[in-house]
Order: sequence, then structure tokens, then C-alpha cells
Amino acid sequence: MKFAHIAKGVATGLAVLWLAGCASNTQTSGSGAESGEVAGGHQTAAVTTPLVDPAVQAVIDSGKVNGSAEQIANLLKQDTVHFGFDSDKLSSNDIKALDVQAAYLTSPAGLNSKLVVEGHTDERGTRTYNLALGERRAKAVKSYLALKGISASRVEVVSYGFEKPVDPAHNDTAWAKNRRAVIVPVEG
Amino acid sequence: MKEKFFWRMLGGVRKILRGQGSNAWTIPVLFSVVLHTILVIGLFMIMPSSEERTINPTPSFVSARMVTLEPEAKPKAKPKPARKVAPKPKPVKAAPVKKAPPKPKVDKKSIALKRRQETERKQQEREKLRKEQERLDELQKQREQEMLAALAREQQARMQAEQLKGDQVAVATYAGVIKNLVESLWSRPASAKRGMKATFRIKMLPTGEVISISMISSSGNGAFDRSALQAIEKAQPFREIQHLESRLFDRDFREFRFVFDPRDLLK
Amino acid sequence: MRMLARSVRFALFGYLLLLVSLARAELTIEITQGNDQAVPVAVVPFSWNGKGVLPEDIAGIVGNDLRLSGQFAPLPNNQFLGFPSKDDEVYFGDWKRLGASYLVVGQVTEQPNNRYKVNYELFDVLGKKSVVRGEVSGNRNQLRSVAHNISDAVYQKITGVQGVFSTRIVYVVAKRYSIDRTDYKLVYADMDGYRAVPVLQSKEPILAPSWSPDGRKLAYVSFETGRPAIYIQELATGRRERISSFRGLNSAPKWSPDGKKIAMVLSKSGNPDIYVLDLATRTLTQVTRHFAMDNEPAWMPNGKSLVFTSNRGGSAQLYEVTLANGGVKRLTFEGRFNARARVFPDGKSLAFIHKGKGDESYNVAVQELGTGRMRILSSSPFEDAPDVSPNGRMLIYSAQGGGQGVLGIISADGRISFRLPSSEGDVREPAWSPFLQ
Repeated sequence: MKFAHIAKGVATGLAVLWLAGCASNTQTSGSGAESGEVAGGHQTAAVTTPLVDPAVQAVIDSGKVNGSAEQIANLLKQDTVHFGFDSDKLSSNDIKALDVQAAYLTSPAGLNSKLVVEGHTDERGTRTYNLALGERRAKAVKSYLALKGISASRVEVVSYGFEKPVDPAHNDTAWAKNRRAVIVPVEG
Repeated sequence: MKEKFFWRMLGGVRKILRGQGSNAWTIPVLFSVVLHTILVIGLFMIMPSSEERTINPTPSFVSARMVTLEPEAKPKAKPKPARKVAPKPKPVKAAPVKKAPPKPKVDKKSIALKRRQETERKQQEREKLRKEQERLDELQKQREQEMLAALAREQQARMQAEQLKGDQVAVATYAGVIKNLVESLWSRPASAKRGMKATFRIKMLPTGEVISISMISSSGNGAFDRSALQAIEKAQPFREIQHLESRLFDRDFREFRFVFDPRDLLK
Repeated sequence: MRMLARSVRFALFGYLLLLVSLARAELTIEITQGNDQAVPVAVVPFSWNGKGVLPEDIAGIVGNDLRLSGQFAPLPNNQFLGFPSKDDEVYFGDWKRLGASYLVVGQVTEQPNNRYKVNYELFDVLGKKSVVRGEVSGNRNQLRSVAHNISDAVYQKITGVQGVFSTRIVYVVAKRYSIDRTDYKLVYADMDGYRAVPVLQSKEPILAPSWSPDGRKLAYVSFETGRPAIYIQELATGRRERISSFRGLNSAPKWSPDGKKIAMVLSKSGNPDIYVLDLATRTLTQVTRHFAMDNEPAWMPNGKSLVFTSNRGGSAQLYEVTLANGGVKRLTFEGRFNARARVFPDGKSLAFIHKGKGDESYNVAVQELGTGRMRILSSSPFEDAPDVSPNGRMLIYSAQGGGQGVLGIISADGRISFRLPSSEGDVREPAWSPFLQ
């Protein structure tokens, strides 16, 4: 469903194929418990992890972002950015995640993927006002990605306003979670 | 601008005084100065008197009150000295008449004639003086009586006014009670707008019971008229009216009008 | 001092003149204001001439309608001293004693072919006379309509204003099962919330329904394709047409007073702007052009200008744009958020959602356009989507009640509000129909 999940899925699939090809041992993958620790190893069970996520590798290879593989993997997993009340400004934390996404999307591995950015709001204000505000948020993400070299034709934007809250409660915590933009890869 | 004009005017006056003013300036300037002087004096003279005049139409009790507010007004002060002067002339008038007779009694012929002539002349003079005195006295008396009459009138007017005022306050008070009652019960229909006006004639018993309501003029809106009628019906009987003097009830409340004229609504 | 003396003297003189004039003419008492409390009315249960039980409580529906208007206070019928159903059974004194200003009585008579004849009569209790009487008939399913008809007649007679009890509302109900699964319904109902039927169901959001001025069609936004698009649906047939599905927003459709155009919000050129679509020619005209969010258009009754929401001034405020020349005028200045306006039928006031400075709640507010005077009508924390009844005397809006959206009805003066009964689910986005034939 979400971008990082798919990337991970693909990577896992590749890893399984590779393992099958080697057939060198029977131990299953530690699913990244010690990921990045033995980056170059091919002999032991632990060495399978660095290749679990070629998307992370692609980001690292792009040289566009700094950070450990673990940090990059986490940022790549972050498909959601959050906003302040009635705002469409990206926070510096979220910008780091977007940088990683952009690095992947401009890398040979991610070059062909398309995505939809969904804009959401909290329930305060009118529904129709929030529909427009959600679009602003989604467009803020799209514009940032464009700045990093992802062409506008690859990114579609849709706003749901507050029709699809993550948390339907009526309090600050729920509102903070609901004010978001989500990057969703287009399937197929 | 004003200053310039002033200096030019002054110059003009100086020129006139020196006898070298141009003919074009002399007459208008003089005329203007005279007019202004008259105007200024006139203003000083007229202003207080015009104030006194405003007192006249008002009943005396009001003007009496005004005196305390306005030390310059003198309508009260004048009559008082006049009343005090009045008793004085009486002893003065009596004295000269009594003193005169003893003198003519001691006389010789030639001298007597002169004396008689003298006496006659004096007597004539005295007579003249006496008559003048009497005339003055008469005038004084007349003025005095007028004064007293005026005072009496004033007194009466004051009493009447007090009575009138008392009546009016009573009527206004009860009218106010009825007004508040009806207003507190008038539920205007949604179609009511400012400018709509309905008038009703009411017949009421001294018990405060309304025995007839007839519409004199409609607002043109049936719902509005009905709401007004309902407000009267809901508010009556106006039992408070039982405390009003029957003379005033008969005069003002046996039959009266309601005008429903909402001023707090939108147009 | 002298000036003071003179003015005091003048005032006293004026006072005396007033008193004297009062003395001379016939006493006239001027009633210049009213209390405008709800009118107490007794609606007596209608007598039933037929087999079995009366299928609908006509009097109950009439009483509830009158109560919803905020202008009437129906008396509880356990206080009634009698239950007249005809004029010769009415004793005005009884009803006056109860405090009723008006009395409604009637009879329901069963007729062949599942028909019912309903006779009613309205009395002025204080004036001790009949105001109006009438007869309405219908089949069993139409009995609620019959009752609303009677409510309209009674309301019209007493207030001098056309009643709205026969009008309808539409609204959206959402039932959420999980973040990925919510069922949406567009529901059509009587204005009192009864006889609700869904006219559209979807797994994706539906919002912003707008009535055509003839009451036969709806325009709304549906996400059924995954993207917002504007549809028109004919109520009688259910036939639909998608009229706008540009890239980006297709939102807040609002039918023009003449029924020929629909104003809407599109962001196809980058930013949300107001557009007008001519339904006959399908020409689209851009009305506003601003980098801010222009949103939520509403027509003035003359069709010559639109009121809309824009944050061009830094916060969401209401503006008016004249269609002929594109001239824009700001209308609201008070508070941090004024949005989603609806114009009263007389064009003199706006209803909208307002949030004050330092205030956390969003409330229905009404502003007079002439004076700019605004008053907040209600006070629950999250109100939305106010719409004005076609006679301008009531508003419907959505609010939060028990964690769910509910519909409220409030009198236009804000004094009386009610919650409408609703089906299970989160209820929102109400729209009030025009007068219907």
C-alpha cells in the first residue's frame, strides 16, 4: 500500500531469490535486526541483511543524502509528513524524509515509479475549506519533490480534507495526527 | 487673509480721519463701523432681555425656579422695593398740610395783601404740590394693586400648574404601566417590520377591564394586527388603574388609544 | 452657566408642553417594542373516524413543526381540559385559562382506496374567533405531508410568512468501520428529519450538496472515482451526470438562483479559484484569480455576484465578487475564520461559520450586510455547513453531539435550537431545499 512497504516487499523478494540461488545456509533472515553491521559479508546468515533493501542502497548510491543505512531506511519508510494548524509548511524533520524519498525517486531504481500525494486536515474549520487546505499540503510536498528533480507529471495530488482521519477523536493529539500528507506509490 | 483685511480697514479709517481717504472707502467704512457698533451694543442689550422673554410663556413656578439659577434676572427684585416705598409717602403727605395754616393768622393791611398774595401763591403752590403728591400716590396705589393682582394671578397659576403637573404625572405613570404590560406580552409575527402601524380604540371600566377594542387603522398586515390585539387581550384587565383618581380615569382612561409602532425592528 | 440655564429652561418647557399636549388630546399609549416570545399554541389530537388506529399522529407532527420554527410553544396535551375536534366543541375560556393564544383542532376521516381526509381549523383564542379552516387529503404514505401542509397553513396565518414545513433537506451520513472503510450516504428527508431515504451511496466521500432552485436536482461532490468530481443528480429518476472532473479540486458546487449555472471551486490552474459553469452551453468562466485559496461560493439572490471564502488577507474571510467586472469587496473583519457563507433569501444577511480571536470553537453566525453587524447564533464547538430555510426564518447546520455529527435547526434570531433525529452515523453537510410545489 504505502511506498516504503512496497519497496521493502520488493527487496525482501529479491533477497529470498538470492538466498535460494546461493542455498548456502538454512538460517532465515534476521529481518534486519543487525542491518548495516556487516555490510559486505556474503558468507554467514547475518550478511544477508544489507541487501534486504535495495531502495536504501539506491539512496546511498545516489550520494544525495548523508546518514547511516539505518537512518536512511527509517526515513525511506516515513511516507507521511505532518503540518501545523491551518498550515502547509513542511517541517525540517519531514524535509529530511522527503530528501531521501527524492533521492530514491531520482535513482535508477525509482526512476519509473509514479506516486500520489494525499492531503489531509484535522476537523477544525469547514469541510470544503479543509478540502482546499488538504490540497495545499499535498502540493507543498509535490513542489518540494519537484525542487529535487521529480517531474510534476510523476506526482498526482489529491485532497480528502478531513474525510479520512487517522484518528477520529476530537482532541489535539488526534488533530496533530490527522494534519498530514501521505505519499502513495501508484500501483501497476 | 483676515489680518490683511483688518489692516486695510484700519488704514482706511486713518485715511478718513486725516481727511485724505479716497471717496470710495469713506462711506462704506464709516457705515460699517457704525453698523458694527450698533450691532455690538444691541447684542449686549438684547441678549439678557431676550432671556427674560423666554421666561414669560412658561408658568410662573418655573420662572421662579429660574431666578435661582440666573442671578442677573430681576423680575422678582423690582416689585419688592416698590412695595416698601409705598407706606412712606403717607406721613410725608400729612405733615406739610398741618404745618401751613398757623402762619397767615398774624397780618397788617398792606403787608397783609402782600402776605395774602404771598400766602395764596404759596397755597397754590402747596395745592399744586399736594395734587402732584396725590397723583403720585394714586399712581403708586394703582401700581401696588396691579402688583398684588399680578402676584395673586401668579399664585393661582402656580397652583393650577402644580395641579396640572400632578395630574399629568399620575396619568403618565399609569399610561406607562399599561404600556410596559402590553409590550412585555406583544409577540410580533415574523412578518412584522418597522413602519407597520396599527391603532386601536379601547373602552375600559374603572376595574381595568377592557370592554371593547376597535381597530381605528390597520397596519395592512393581518398577522401584525392580530398579534397586537392578542397583546392587549393578554395584558388586560389593567387592575393597576383602580388606584387612579376617578376624575382622571374618567378623563383619560375610560376611552383611550393604543398605537402599535415597533421601532426596534428592521425595515 | 448661562448656556446650561438656558438648556435646562428649554428642557423644562418641552416637558411641560408634552404634559399639556397629553392632557388635551385623547390619551394615546404607544407600543414601540415587543417581547417576541414563542406563541403558546394548543394542538388538540385530531379525532379519528375510521377502522383501527390513526396511522399518523397528525396533531403531533403539526405541534412538532411549530415548535421547530422557534416561534411557537405548543402546550403539552396532558394539561388540556377538553379535546374538541370541531368549532362547536371549542370553549375559548378553557384555552385562555391554559395560556393558549391559538388553538388547532381537526378530524381525520378514512375514505375508500386507502385515502384519508383531514379537516382542520385554527382559532384565535384571545380574539375568540376562527382564523382559518381547511381540508387536505392523501393516502397513507402522504399523511406526514398532509400534516406539514396544515403546519404551513397555520404558520402562514399567524406569522404572515410562508411556512417551510413541506420543504425537504438533504445531508450526508458517514458510517466509519475503519480508516479504510467508511460508507457514505446522501440522504433526502423531510425538514423535520423524518422519512429519510438515501439517494446515493458510496464507499468514498460525498459532500457539499446543493439544490437546484426548482428543487428537482442536486449537485454534489463525490469521490467515487478516487478523485473529487461534481455530479448532478435528478431526484425523481436518480439519473446522474458528471459535470466537472478537472485535475485537482472540483468542489463546493452552488446552483445559481435562475438554475442555469453552477458556481464551483476548481484548482486546475494551480490554485483554488471560483468558476461558473453555464449548464446549457457548458462554458466555464473563471471568476476569481488569486494565489490564495478562493472557495465556497454562494450566489446573491439577484445572481449578479457571489460571496466566497478567501484567505487572501491572511486568514479565511468572506468576500463578494461582482460577476460583471470581477470587483472584489471584503465583507467580514471580525474574528480569525469566517467561511462557507450562505445568503438569506432577502439578500440582506449572511449565515456562515465563524471563529473568534482566541476562541477555539467554530459557530454559526449571521451578519447583516447593511450594517456589518454580526451575531453568533449557537455555541457547540464544531459547527459547519449552515444553510438558510427558504423563508429565511430558520437555519440548519451540523454540529458535534456525543462524538458524532448531528444536525441542528435554529431560529434565525438564534433564540431556539433543536437537534434533528437522525439515523445511525456521522451526519453532516445539510442543504435546505427551496419551496417545493
